[in-house]
Amino acid sequence: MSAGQAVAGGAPRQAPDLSWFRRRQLRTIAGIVAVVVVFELCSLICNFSLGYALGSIPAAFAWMLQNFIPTVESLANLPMVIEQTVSTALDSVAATVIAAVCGIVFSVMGSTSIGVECAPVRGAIRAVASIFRNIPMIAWALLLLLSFKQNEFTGFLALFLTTFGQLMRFFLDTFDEIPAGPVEALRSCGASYWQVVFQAGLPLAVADLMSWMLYMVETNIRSATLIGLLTGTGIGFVFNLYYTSFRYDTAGLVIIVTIVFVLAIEAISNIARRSMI
Amino acid sequence: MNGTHLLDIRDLGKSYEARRRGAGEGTASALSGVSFTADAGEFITVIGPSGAGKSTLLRSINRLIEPTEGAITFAGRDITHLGRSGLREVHREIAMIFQNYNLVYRLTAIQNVLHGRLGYKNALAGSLGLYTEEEKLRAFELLDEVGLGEFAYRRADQLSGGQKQRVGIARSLMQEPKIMLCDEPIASLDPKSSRMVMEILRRLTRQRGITCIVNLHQVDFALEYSDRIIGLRAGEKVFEGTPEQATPEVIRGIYEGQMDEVVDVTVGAVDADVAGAAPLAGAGAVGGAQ
Repeated sequence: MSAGQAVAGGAPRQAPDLSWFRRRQLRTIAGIVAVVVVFELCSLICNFSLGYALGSIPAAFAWMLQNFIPTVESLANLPMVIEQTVSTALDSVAATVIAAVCGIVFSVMGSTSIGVECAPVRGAIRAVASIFRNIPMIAWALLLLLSFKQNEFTGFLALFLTTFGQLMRFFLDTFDEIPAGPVEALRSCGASYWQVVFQAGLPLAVADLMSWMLYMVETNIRSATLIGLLTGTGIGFVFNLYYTSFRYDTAGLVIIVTIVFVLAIEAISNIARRSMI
Repeated sequence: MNGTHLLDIRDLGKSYEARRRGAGEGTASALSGVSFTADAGEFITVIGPSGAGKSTLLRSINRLIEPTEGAITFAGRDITHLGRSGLREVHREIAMIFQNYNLVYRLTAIQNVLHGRLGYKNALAGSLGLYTEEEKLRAFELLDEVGLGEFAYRRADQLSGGQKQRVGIARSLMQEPKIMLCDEPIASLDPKSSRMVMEILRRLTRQRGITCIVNLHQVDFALEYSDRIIGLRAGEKVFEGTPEQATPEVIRGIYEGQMDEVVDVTVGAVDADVAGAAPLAGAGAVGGAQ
């Protein structure tokens, strides 16, 4: 129908420019070639050989299978490993949830949709969040080790601070994107600032907020293991202990238990997510 | 004179700082010198092409948009310069319904209706959604009244457009308003739902003495339901009269030849939108009137 209108409009129809498709293809090919060239160049500079790396994978796996398969004796350590994994998991859940609560408060205030009216304050909140986020978790852990020494609280704080920064980014995006209509409607009814936040802002954002929080719980259980290596606590410490004393069977047991836990938590959080939509 | 009308709008104007590059003047006016009055129970429609300032006018009345000139007197009180708490009291009595319903779509119908009470509640009770038993019963009554009693616990995003708008009306009635400002309440609805919503609004004016000020694109609906019609063009009032006085010539006068001026009176990002929509909306509405 639109073609009919164009003809009826009397404008002479120009021959379509088909070379556009060819140029498009050439650009795609050029892009692929560029990626390959960059990869080769980088490999050359740092003496990386893809062939050698790939070739050594089978042997590496064979070695891991030989050494890291838990032996019958190592199973005696299972209760202790599970206990430490649970403790690490709970630690990271606690850190994430507290970071999420703080994150919600600050991202509400820093958001453009329902934030505080003073733009410099919003900017400051965003800047602080960005700083927390951009210091790597390991760096936080090392920094905090100096003042808090090797204990569970150090790991907790490191997790909390980076999670807070991460979640602030996600939460700010979520709050920025809530529709303006319901917020305007509540303001027009005479609702006060906090009433608007609790009755429109949070209900509209809550599913996304929870989804991000669950995602961070999942990632943090993995990160907590790593941080435990540094702070000498939790399952990370147990792994390090057995690994450095060449008792690979128990170290392997730790890995397997950790994997099972992470998968279980992921499954639970997926169920939680689905029930919230 | 001012005290005798429920609402008295005098020389209302809104101008924006022009932020467009290459704009010669310092300000662009979206509304200028609009005056009218409204009495209890009147059904007033505001018609005019897109970008004529209908939305700006409506939102200036309850100061969701701050007018830059003129005065608003509501129930004998000058509300033009009211502070935050005074404005909150006024907002309770001036309800609003919207083209996009503006429900909190993740909450149930009944929760959305109860939002109408927020202006009366303290910060804590309102934030936590702690309503009294009377308020809850009242909310159910109002849902029944708009024919949605059985949908009370249905989430707002599972309702149809017409149902959402009726929830919006119930929410505004929860405020016990004296005036309802309706911003294109039927623009997103099919003809049957549109008629239903318009019937409900008219019933409110007749039975409860609530004043309805309704922005409309559908001139035929305006002619059928209004006690009085106000025509806006390029931010100025160009017509005010009964539906009988709004002859096809008058209507055409309101809608015609607006392209250039329409673009001039709006600011920044809305320009493209308005310029694109104006001729279509105008043509459609005039066609409908004849």
